[in-house]
Amino acid sequence: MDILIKLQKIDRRVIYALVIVVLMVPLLLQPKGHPKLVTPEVHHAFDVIDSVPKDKMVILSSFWGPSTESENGPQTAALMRHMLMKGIRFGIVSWDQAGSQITYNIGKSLEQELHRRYGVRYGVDWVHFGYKLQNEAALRGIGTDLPTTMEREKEGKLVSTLPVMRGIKDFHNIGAVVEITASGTLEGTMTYTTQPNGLKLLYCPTAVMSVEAYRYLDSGQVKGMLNSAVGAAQYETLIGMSNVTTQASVTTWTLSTAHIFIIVLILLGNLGYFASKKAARRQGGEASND
Amino acid sequence: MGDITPYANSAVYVVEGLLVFFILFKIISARRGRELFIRRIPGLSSLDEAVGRATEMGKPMLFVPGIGGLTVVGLQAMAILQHVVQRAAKFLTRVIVPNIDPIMFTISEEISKEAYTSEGVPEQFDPEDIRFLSSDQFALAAGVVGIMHRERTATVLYFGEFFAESLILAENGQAVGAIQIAGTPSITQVPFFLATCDYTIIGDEYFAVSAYLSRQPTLLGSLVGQDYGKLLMMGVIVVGAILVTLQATLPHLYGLAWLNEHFLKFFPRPPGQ
Amino acid sequence: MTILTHNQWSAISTRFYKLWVVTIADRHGWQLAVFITGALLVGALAMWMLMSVPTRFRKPIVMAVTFLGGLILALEFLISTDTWHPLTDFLPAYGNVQMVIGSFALLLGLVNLFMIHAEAVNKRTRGWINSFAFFVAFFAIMIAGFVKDYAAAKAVSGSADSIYTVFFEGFLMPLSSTMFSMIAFYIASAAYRAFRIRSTESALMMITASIIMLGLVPAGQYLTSGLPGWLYWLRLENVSYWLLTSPNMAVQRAMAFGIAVGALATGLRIWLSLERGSFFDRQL
Repeated sequence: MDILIKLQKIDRRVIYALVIVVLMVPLLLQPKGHPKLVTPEVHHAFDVIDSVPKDKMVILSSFWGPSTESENGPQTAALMRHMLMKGIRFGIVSWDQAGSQITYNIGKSLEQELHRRYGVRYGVDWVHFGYKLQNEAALRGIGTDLPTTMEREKEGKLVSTLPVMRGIKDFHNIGAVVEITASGTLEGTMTYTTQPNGLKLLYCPTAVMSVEAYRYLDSGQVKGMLNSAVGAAQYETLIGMSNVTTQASVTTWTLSTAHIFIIVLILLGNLGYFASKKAARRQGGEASND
Repeated sequence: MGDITPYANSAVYVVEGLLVFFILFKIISARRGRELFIRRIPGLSSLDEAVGRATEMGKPMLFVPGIGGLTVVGLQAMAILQHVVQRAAKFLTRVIVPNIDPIMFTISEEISKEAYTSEGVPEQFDPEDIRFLSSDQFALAAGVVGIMHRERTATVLYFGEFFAESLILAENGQAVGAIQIAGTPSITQVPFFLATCDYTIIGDEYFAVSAYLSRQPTLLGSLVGQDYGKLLMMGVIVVGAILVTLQATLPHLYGLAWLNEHFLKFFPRPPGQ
Repeated sequence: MTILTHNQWSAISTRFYKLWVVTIADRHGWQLAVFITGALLVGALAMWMLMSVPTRFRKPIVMAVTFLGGLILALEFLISTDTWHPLTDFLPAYGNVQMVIGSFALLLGLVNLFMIHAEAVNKRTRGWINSFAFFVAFFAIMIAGFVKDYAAAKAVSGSADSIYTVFFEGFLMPLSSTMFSMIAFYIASAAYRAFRIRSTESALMMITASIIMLGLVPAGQYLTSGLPGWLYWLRLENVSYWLLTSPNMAVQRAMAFGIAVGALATGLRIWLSLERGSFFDRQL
């Protein structure tokens, strides 16, 4: 009992050290196990992407940076991989400067990996529109005149000259919009890009922000969702990568150990709290007996 | 069935029109002298206690106006800042205000100067207490944490829009032993503030803060108008839920199909739903 | 709208729009220099005129400009035809004006930063070395950025890009990730310190939080995978999913309505200049 009471006053640095140990284990082991269970919103997201016709394009609207790379990176990679494997054209625009380089690197590494088997090429199967300043005009422009709004891609070429943009003009030629974000940008994309044009919207938020999305899933304004790295791992299960070590699988297992650790901490903290309450009551009883 | 358009439809005209009417009507009736009741909000009642603590300890207060920039939420934070600085100025307590947005920085500087002047102590205003730290979220967090630890702030107030940096700020405020009061309409950050702050103001209570503190008739009237607006929303939801439930359970009820059709036409659903 | 016909309004707005397009067209070389100088002079003139206005007229002018500025955006949304939108074409320029005004304010913020840190370095106050580091970092990345853009414009490849990449990808990005990752530690210490079951509500919250945390991850799903088929609804992932899609969704929606109405009221007060407080009531 005393030890539980003593643990109440433990130095926070001890907790920090334990967090490092707990999180490092799966990061070092690099487990490849993907979740076998796939939630309905991930299924719907998969179905939306899978059913995009070959004459249409998917737009990945990316508003995340290095701080949320562990959550949004696997989502971006899983979606890009699916589309490259299936031959679905996509363009990715980054509204964050640092994120622009990261998403470009993800695309390029996937291109390298899949080029031999699927003949994937930049400018033909996918394009990165680079960093753009997000404002109402840009969001509207995606649905009304995509080539003019994006103008140049990341490498500096005019997007209208690229084979991937052949026949792509406005919302009639867009199959879906995927919002991959660590900020509250969903409402803006919904208001200016997807809802006015009847476009399907998929949402890829961080775990903290995903709880807000269920109301949009229920109303049909968002068709599917990848909930942080866990959603990305589930998506990878659907695209046949359940036995491959990926960032999503490692992050999912890291999350597992972290969640269990926090629950154990909460339990210990509460046991100590009850123990100290009991001890205080006993002391109060002894004092009144004296 | 009606279509979703980028522009207002009849539902928007009616609902928004009614909301605006309620708010303006109540503002006008409050200005005409009608007494209005507002319930106690614990976090705000303890604001004086928080200012007093900083005064007793001889340490400064820290007011973090969020990272949202010049928006409705940010301007509300400025209105709250004005009350806080006025109260602190009464006791000659410093209030440090770090900003992420340069426009908000200029507004908070004006507000602080005015507040000290209105309390008759303009010489107490130190321009270095109002700082623009950075436009980057985590650079601001690092800067604010540095200020907390260097200045050993006794009271920290968080009012505005917050994102991931909220836990970094609030946990460090805990570490320096400050009394912390947070108010934000950012629902996702509320759990972090609840775990680390002494008082938290949630959701639409945030928009009631300036009315609560100042008891200005215009602001009180607006608050009561908001409540009528919420009642209207609740009414629409209840009617819609009843209609949909009846449609599912008693589809042949006389007039139900007609009612349902018109209700759904009035409140259109997204395409494909 | 009843004074002129639809076609007459269209003709007028088209003429204004053509004039507008000519005004904001891209310019280069000496034309750009003249345009910028002219714009600055017009701006200075407007400021002088505002300062010359008698005090009792300043507030009404500010109120009128505030109202008109908000009216453009309100009308753009409220005029509900798909065929007639005279204001839509002006919106990108409106957004650009907002950005330019914000950029002026950025200069003020920078001046403040420089003043504070320069004084710290000058007076060698405690921690002055951090202020010195601010100047080093500021000018280093600014110069690296300008040199990179200059090299790109002249189509010269070389070390300019690499230096910028070192600063951006070597410093800024890892530092940003580091700050975010600190949250993991803070969550653990906050959870240990603050989550105490002091009442029925907090017990309910604890149980719900644990279910959702475990239901989201594979380890939690394994915990209840042994439950028989007829008890599938008790599996952690199913309970967690129900909690997220039913009570959580309802509460999120309710809060969103409340916040939206609050934001509408605050926005309305500011737009109609009804907001009260020393900042809004002060003498101009």
